[in-house]
Amino acid sequence: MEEKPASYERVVYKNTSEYHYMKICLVCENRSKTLSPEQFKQLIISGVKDLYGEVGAAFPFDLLTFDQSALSAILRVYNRGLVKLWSALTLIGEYEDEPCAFRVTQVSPFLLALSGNSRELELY
Amino acid sequence: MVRLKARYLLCEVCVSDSSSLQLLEERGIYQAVRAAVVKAHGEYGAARFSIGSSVAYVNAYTGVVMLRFRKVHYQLLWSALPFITSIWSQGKKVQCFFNCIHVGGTIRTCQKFLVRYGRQQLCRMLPHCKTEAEKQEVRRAVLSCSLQKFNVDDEGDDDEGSEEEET
Amino acid sequence: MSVYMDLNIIAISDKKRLQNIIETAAHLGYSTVAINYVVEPQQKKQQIPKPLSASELCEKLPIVQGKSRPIKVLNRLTVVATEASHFRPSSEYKNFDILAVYPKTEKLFHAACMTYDVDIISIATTEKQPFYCKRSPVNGAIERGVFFEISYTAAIRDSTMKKYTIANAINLVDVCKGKNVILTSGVENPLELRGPYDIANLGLVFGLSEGDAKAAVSTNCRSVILHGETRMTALGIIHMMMKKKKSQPPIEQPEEETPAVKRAKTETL
Repeated sequence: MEEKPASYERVVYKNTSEYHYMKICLVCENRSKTLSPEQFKQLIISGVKDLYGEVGAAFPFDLLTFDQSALSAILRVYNRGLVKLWSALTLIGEYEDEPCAFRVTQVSPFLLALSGNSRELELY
Repeated sequence: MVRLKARYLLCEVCVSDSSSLQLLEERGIYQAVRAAVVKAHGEYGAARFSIGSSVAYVNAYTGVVMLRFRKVHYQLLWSALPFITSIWSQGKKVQCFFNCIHVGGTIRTCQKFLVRYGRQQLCRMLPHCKTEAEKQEVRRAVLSCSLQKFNVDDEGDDDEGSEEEET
Repeated sequence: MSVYMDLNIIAISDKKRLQNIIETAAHLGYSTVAINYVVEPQQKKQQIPKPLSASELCEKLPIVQGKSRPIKVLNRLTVVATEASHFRPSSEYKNFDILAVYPKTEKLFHAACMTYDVDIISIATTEKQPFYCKRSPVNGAIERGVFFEISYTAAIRDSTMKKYTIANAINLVDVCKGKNVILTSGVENPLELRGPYDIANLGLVFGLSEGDAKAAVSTNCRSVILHGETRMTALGIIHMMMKKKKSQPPIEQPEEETPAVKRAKTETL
């Protein structure tokens, strides 16, 4: 029996995901800064509250994973709140009077997509 | 020229003590609304509020306030109105809440509504009157504005008249 | 695949920090950055600075993430104009790739939109816009291919500035219907810089559509650079440059500067 040549399979989702997943990373001026997951989430919530008030802060999002050493995390948020959460992350400029920045590495409706990052591939 | 559409929100300021209504003024109301918007919607709401929002009309006798918002974001700003609990006016704190009674596209439609609303209020007041003199007064007011109903041009005056007699 | 650009990095005297900013920009995926020299003519005796060339700035330009090319560094001049006399086209302006003006009054805004030979008109982000952007000058500017700039750093620094930035941006986007807007940073500190996708998302908050928001960090910026080129060359078609040869006296040699496709784009703007 002849072996079939490798072929690509195209998967199309009819109903898109309810959530979006974001892989983010916090960069601080002070490299040795450590945060507990609670503090990390509180920082994000206060950022959202600053920009969108209590209505925005009430919107649920989840901190799925948090890497304390790299200060990177994966967030899960409903599609509706993605723009709000993301723009609030963009405009967070300081934590405890120290400049910091959120770097959004990846955003995807599928959690699996966050396992690899094409942007970190070195192309030469 | 493109018209910038606005929405006018007719709100009733409800207070426990009707004499404190006299304290109402434009500035105090504007600041109370802005504070509520900032609290509910943050800096984004404040930015939206700073574009084309104003207090168009205040009636200190009946406690009717007309707020003007841009059409594009009036729903966002409207959602903050229920959270107003007090207004600082003339150095005094007035405990109150806002009850939105009408949303209109122009000042004219709001005025028409207000006239009709005032008339209804008069009719509703009638059974609550205790003394005969009060009853007579309300009856007279109802009659005066029903007669003016045919006089379409004078609706503006009619509005003022009926409102004041309601108090 | 579009390339992302950030056309406003404030030129600071601290060279090391500037290098650090450029490295961060390359890391975030910006292919082109512009170093912004701001002059305020109302302060007396302020000279138009000489721009540093990219090679003077860093010996080796950092490689853009996800690409194999080094980052491109341009120079930009911003004139803060409070009076009509402040904007005077002179030969010193020719040293810069991009020319921007920040008008402080309505009259100057009108003039900047309709007549000034600039590429970018900056919009206030640290204060409430003191005048209302009228539709007719804005349309004139769009017709001439001049772009409006919103810089977001002020919004990151301070809470009240956030309000002003958003309000002014919404106003502007309303008037120009999302066309001819670019989003830039205006950073002085590497931690104030944000990635291009973040900024495209921020554009959505300012009322841009998804397509316009992405264009505001990519294709619109490209148009600005091309517009800057047309200012220096004869409509981008002919570019004069001196040819250095020992035997012959210097001849002016016409040279085709931009390919036909790019030219068509700038002309239609």
